[in-house]
Amino acid sequence: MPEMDACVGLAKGPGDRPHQFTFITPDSDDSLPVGEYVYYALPEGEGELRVICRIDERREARNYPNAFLAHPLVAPGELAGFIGYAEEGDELFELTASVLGYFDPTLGDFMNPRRLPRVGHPIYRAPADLLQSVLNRKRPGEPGGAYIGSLLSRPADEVPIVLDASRFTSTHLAIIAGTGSGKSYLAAVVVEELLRPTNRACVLIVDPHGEYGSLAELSNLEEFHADAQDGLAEYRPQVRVLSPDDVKVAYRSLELDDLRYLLGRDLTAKQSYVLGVAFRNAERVTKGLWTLTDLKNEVANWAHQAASTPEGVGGAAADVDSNAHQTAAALSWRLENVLGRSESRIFDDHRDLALQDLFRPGQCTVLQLSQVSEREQQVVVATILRRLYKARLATEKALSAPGDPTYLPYPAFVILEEAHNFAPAAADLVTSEQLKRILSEGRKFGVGMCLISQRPGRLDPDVLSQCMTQVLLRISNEVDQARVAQSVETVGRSLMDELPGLSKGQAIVAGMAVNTPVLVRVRQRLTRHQAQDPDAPARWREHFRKEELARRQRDEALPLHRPPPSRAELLSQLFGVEDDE
Amino acid sequence: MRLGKIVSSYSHLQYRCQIYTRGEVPDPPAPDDYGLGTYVTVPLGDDRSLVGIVCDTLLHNPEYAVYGPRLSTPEETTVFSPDYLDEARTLVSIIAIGYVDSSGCHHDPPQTAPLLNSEVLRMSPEQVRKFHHADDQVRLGYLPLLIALARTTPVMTQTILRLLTTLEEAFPDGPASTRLRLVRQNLSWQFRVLSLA
Repeated sequence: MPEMDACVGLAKGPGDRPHQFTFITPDSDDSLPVGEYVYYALPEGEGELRVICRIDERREARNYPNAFLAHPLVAPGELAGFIGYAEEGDELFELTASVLGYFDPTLGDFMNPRRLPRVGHPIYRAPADLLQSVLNRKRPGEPGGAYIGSLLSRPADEVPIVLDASRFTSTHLAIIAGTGSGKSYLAAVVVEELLRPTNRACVLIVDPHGEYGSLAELSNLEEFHADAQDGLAEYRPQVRVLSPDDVKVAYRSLELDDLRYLLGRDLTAKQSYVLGVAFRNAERVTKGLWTLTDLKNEVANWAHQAASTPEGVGGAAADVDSNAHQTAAALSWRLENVLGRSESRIFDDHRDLALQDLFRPGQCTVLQLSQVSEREQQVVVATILRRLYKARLATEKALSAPGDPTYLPYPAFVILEEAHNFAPAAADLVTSEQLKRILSEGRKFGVGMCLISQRPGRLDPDVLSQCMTQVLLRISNEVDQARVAQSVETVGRSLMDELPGLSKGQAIVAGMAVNTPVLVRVRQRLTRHQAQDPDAPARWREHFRKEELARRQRDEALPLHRPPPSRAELLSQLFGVEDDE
Repeated sequence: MRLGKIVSSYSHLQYRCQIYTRGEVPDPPAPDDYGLGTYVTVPLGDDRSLVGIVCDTLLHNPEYAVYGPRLSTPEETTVFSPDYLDEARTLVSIIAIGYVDSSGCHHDPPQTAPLLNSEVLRMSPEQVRKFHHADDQVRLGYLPLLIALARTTPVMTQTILRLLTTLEEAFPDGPASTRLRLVRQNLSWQFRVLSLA
C-alpha cells in the first residue's frame, strides 16, 4: 500500500510522449537512477491500481549556479554555507518516467490505464516484492525459471530477475554484446539455470573458442543435485565436452549443398554438375549410407560413362566427353583434399555423432570446434541442426519410433556462439537456411536456439528479429547499435541509450521471457569462468624466470658426444678378455 | 507587551512606530522585544486589530552633528533640568500583513489604516500560532506580499527568513513544520545562493 511505501516525489505534468510524465524529486540518497521503477496509485473501485513506471531520463531542476563551481577545490555546498545557506538537500531533479501500466495477473501483462498522474500526485518507489512479482513471469526456484541476476537499479539480489525458460527455449534467445562484455559468462549462467533440478534441460553448445569446458564442474556441484521426489528420479546433470577430435560427421550426414559449400566457390559449373550426379548415384546405390570412396567411385563412373557415350550424359553436348576424365580427376582430387585429408579429420566414413548422444535431458553437450576451420564448423552446425530439426519433426508427427536414429522425444536447446559466422547478413551460407528454418518453425517442434554474437551488424537481421528474447550487454559500435535498434523492437529508446554505458556483467533483458525490459546485474557463475584473456606481459616475464631459463637450457643442450669404443674396450666389455694385438 | 505608538506611515501597508522609552511606560521594551520579524498588533478602534511585522529599525537622534555649546553635561541635565526631554528615539517600520476580527484571522491588509498614536503591541506566541491557524491548517497567505517587497527592500529578505524561523519554533512538528522548512529552504536558496548567480 502507498502509505507504507516511500513517497519519493511529486508529479509535475505530462512528458513529451503520451505515456510519459515528469516528476520532481530531491532524490537525496541517489536512489532513482535511470531504469529504476516507481509507481503512482489510481483509485479503482474500492481499491486502487499501482501503475508501474520506469524512469527514462533525469535532469537537474535546481542546482548551484556556475559561480559556485568556479574552483575545483571548493565544493559548492561549502561556498553556500560560507554565505549563510546552511540547508540540506539543495538539489532537485526532474525525472521523466514512462508508464508501463498496472500488472494484470489474469492476462500476465501490463495494462496501460491511460491516466497520467495529475500535478502534485505522489510518486512512490516501487517496493522490491512488487517488482519481483510484476517484472518476472517466474519466481526464483520455480520450475521453468532461470534466475540470471538481479535488478541493476537495486542492491544486489534485492529484486531477482528470473527468465521464463519455457519462453526463451521455444521462441529463441539472442545474447548480443561487444567483445569482453560477458556474453559467454551470461550464456554459462543461462546453461547453469537450465541444468538445475527444476529444469533438467537438454542443451547443446556450439563452442568455437573452447570457452565452455568448465561447465563440466556442474556435475559435482551440490546445487545441481536432487534426490528422488515428487515422482521424479534422482538427478545429477551430465556435461559432455566433445573436443575437436571427438567431433565426427559421417559423410552420409552431408547433403549436396554441404559438399558444394565445402569444396569452395571456385568449383566450376561442370564439376558442380558432376558432383550432383555422383552424389545422387552414391545415395541411391548405398541407400544413403555412402562413404567418400563411394562418392569418388561414382565420380569415376560418371567419367567413364561420359567418355564412352558419344552423345554425352543426360543429353549434354558432345564436347563434355573430351574433358570428362579431367573433370572427374579434378573433382576427386578436391574431394580427397577437402574431406579425406582435412586437418581436423572431422568427416568420417562411419563415425557420426548420434543425436541421442548429443541431446539428452539433464545433459549439456559442449561441441568444441576450436581447431576446426570456419567452413567445416558451418557444415558441422548445418548437419546437426538439420538432423535435429528432422528428428524432432519426425518424432512429433509420429514418423519415427523409439529405436530409430531420428527418434528424439524431447525438446532441445542449442546455444550457438559467434552466430554471425553462421548467419551473416551479406551472405547465404549453408547454415543460414537451417537457422532461419529453426528460428521460424522450430517452436512448433521444440527446437530452441540461443544466438550469441558480438557483431549484430554482421548478423542477418531476419535471424536476429526472430529471437523473441534479447539480452543486450555493452555495445559500443554504432552500426551494431543501429542493427539492434532495428531488430529488437521491445527495447525502448531510453534503454537503448544505456547500451554504450553498460559495464561488464550488466545487461538489458527484453522480450517474451520477462514482462517488461529490465536492466540486470548478471549473477555470479557457480562454475569457473574459462574465457579469460591471456595475460601476455605475465607470459613474457615468465620467459625470463630462472627455472624457465634452466629448463630451456636443458631442453636445448646438445647430446653428449662420446667417441665409439675401441676394439680393446669392446673385447673387454663383451668377453672380459684383453686384446692381444 | 506595549511596544510603542504609530507616528507616521510610508503607505497603506507600511507604518512607523516610535518605541516607548523610560518615562513613557512603566516597563519600556528591550531591543529584543521589537527585533526584526517580531509580530505586532495594532487595535483599529473597533473589533478589528491590524497584524504586522517589524521589518526595519531606525535610530533617531536630533543631537547628532549639532555641536553648539551646552550649559551642562547629560549627567548634570537630569539634576538641573529634570523637565528636559531626550529626543533620541528608536523607530521601527511595521508592515501590515493582515488583521484579526470577530470572524477570524485574515492574511490580507485591512481596508482601514490605524490612527496616529495607535498603540503597537507585541503578539504573544499563542497569538502568533492562532493567527496562522485556519480550518485546522497552518497558513502563510501574506508571504507573497513580503517576497514582492523583498525585491526593493533588501532588509525584507532577512525579515522573511527570521520570521520563518520564528514560525518553525512555533510549529515544531507535524505537516506545518515540514512546509515551513521547505518554504524557508527555497527562500534561503533564492535569497542567498541565487544572489550570486
